[in-house]
Amino acid sequence: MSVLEPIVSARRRLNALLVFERASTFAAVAASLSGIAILSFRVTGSNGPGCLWYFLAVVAATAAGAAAGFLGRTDSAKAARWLDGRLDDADLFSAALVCVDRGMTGRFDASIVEKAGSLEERAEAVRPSLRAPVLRFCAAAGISILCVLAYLLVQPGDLDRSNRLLAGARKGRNPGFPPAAPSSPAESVREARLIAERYFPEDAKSASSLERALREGDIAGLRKLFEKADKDFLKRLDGEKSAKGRARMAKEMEERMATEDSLARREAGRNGGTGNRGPAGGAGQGSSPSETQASGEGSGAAPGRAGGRGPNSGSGEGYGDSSRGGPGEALARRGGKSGIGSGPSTLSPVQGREPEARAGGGKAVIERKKDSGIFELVLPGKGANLPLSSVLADSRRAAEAAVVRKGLPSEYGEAVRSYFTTLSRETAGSMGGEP
Amino acid sequence: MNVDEKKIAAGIDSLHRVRESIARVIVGQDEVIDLTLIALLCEGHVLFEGVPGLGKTMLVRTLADTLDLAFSRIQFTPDLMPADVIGTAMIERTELEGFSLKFENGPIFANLVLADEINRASPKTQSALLEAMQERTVTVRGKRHELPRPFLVLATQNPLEMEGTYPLPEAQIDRFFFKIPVLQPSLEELVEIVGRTSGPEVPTAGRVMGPEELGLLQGAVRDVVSPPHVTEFAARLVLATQPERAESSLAIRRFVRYGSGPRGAQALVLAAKARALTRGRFNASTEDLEACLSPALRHRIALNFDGQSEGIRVDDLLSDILATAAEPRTRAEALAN
Repeated sequence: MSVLEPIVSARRRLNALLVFERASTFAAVAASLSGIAILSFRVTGSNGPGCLWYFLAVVAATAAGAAAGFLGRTDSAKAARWLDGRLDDADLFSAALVCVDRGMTGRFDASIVEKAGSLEERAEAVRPSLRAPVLRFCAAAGISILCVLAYLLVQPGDLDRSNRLLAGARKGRNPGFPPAAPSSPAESVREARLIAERYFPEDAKSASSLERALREGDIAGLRKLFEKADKDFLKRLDGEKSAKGRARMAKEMEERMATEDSLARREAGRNGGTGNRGPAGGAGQGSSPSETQASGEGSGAAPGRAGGRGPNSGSGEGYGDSSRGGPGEALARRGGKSGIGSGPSTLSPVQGREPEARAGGGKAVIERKKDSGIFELVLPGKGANLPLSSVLADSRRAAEAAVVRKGLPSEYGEAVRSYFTTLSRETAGSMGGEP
Repeated sequence: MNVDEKKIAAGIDSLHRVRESIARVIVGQDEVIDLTLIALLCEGHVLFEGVPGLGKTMLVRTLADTLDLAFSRIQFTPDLMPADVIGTAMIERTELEGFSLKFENGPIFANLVLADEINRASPKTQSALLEAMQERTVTVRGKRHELPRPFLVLATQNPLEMEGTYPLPEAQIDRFFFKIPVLQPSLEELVEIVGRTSGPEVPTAGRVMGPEELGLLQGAVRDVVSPPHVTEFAARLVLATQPERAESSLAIRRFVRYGSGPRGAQALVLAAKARALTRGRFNASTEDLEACLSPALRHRIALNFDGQSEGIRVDDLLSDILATAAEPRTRAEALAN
């Protein structure tokens, strides 16, 4: 029967439209929810599921929508009714369908079917409007786009967009670092800025470079910048003649040490407990005292350098031995006054330990490099001058920063973290033999 | 188109001519005429409601003239007895049998019966119409008498004058197929009426259509196809008038004492079929249904005290029902439109 063809065509079109609309709506909603979830995780700083899961969620939602559309597909009677409504033919196709279904046994069935058949061309030309499904899809997709835009605003990047959002938070910040480990890239950015400002208080360009290097985990760059910071410090120290100024510089050095110590402690906390101290914990072992009280001859107070910040960073103690005194030694030599033992010291149990040689069994010494003037912890052995643990901390930080920066799934971050944790455990297990 | 359909098409043409012929006598009242013809095709009784002088009697008389049907008029009064309507047994003397009782047909034995001011008769007399209207037979002294076909009761009642009247019982009201309000004519129509009736010649209508043709159309009405969604829509509409249903609207539940029953749905679908046929279609549509909703259901809905005291109109309730009781469209239909 030719009258059935327009009805079947209409039914097919309606069902296709329904499946499309359901699938696209479900997909858009899933994408929107995923966007909101990603955004929430970014803002709160917690680790959400990886990108793969979001992708799978959208795919699953699309499939579910298509299935829902398929299950809710319309039948021929409804399609005929829709066709009648569009053609305004006084329910002719619906009546024709009844006639065909009952085998054309009615008195007027032939006439009705014939009349409906005469409208076949018009019926074939009827197309469902795509306006409603497209509008619904656009509405849902709009939410997704807003999420993406919001994500781009929050996501830290080279343009430092996060600073705009975090400006308000920075205004009320306390000096020093928060006790908790930075868990979000935004927090890392803020922290990098603080470190950079402490090392280069008068050199904005270098501070910016250091901040960038910290964020990007650029080890080589960090090494150079820290060396530069040391040089600058010594230069300023040489130029400082007044006792007050030297005391201020000593305080500055203390702040640097506090910064590094804070980082080291946080790294230790992030890696879980003292028993399984991570790479930064290893660095803490060789770090100098974090707190120095320079009483009496304050100018002689000689804080040492904290370890764990870079490959060539030295470790030392601030008191007792000028050979381990780091900048204190320089102060003592340049100033002609010995700051050694001039004041009581309070050493934390961990940070106050002496650096130990781990290769060759000899005694480690802190020396000043002749060419650069940088103090380093020189270990006995063939050119070994740095514990692996201190390298691990920076390497790990750089790797994690890279994972975050590139937007890799969290599984990758977990893998990186696991790798360095394992490595640090092994390092801690072989403390004596690790150069 | 086969021979049968050609005959029906000719009958529909005749029906249109009947309509035109009536329109020459009755000025205005187009909807009343249309609905009356629809009721005629369905063999349904009609209750006209309107003040005196609006041409109700004239309409029925003209209809009988154009269709060449037997017409009788009964003026209902409080002292009218059932025998005055259906007939009575008379003593008759014949040479062969001597004295015997012979049934004398009452005025109800006609094709078109005009029951004028039906609410003035006593309930006893009104109920005498019940059997005639429903069964189309009259039983006197245990003997059933068939009424002539077609048989239609076209009753009138005055909605204003209530003193000395007996409101029709629900059972009897439900037997009317349509209740059609006859409204006052407009200015133009009134001028036309005065012009036509005050002249030397009063317009009359001649025979246009015979009972055979009418019978053919009446037989064809039930063969008109009603798509499932049209029938379902009628059922939804009827159910929506019932106040005891939780799905009914707040107005229905608040102001209606009882709603329409199955007879209302039957009348609705049948009227839609007849309307489709009068328009040359062999299938009913929702549009037909909507057009016949008020005349088919308005007398089957009784307002409660609240409804009456607040002046609620049943037609307004039905309009609300029509707006809300439509069959919900499927998601695909809603999307595609």
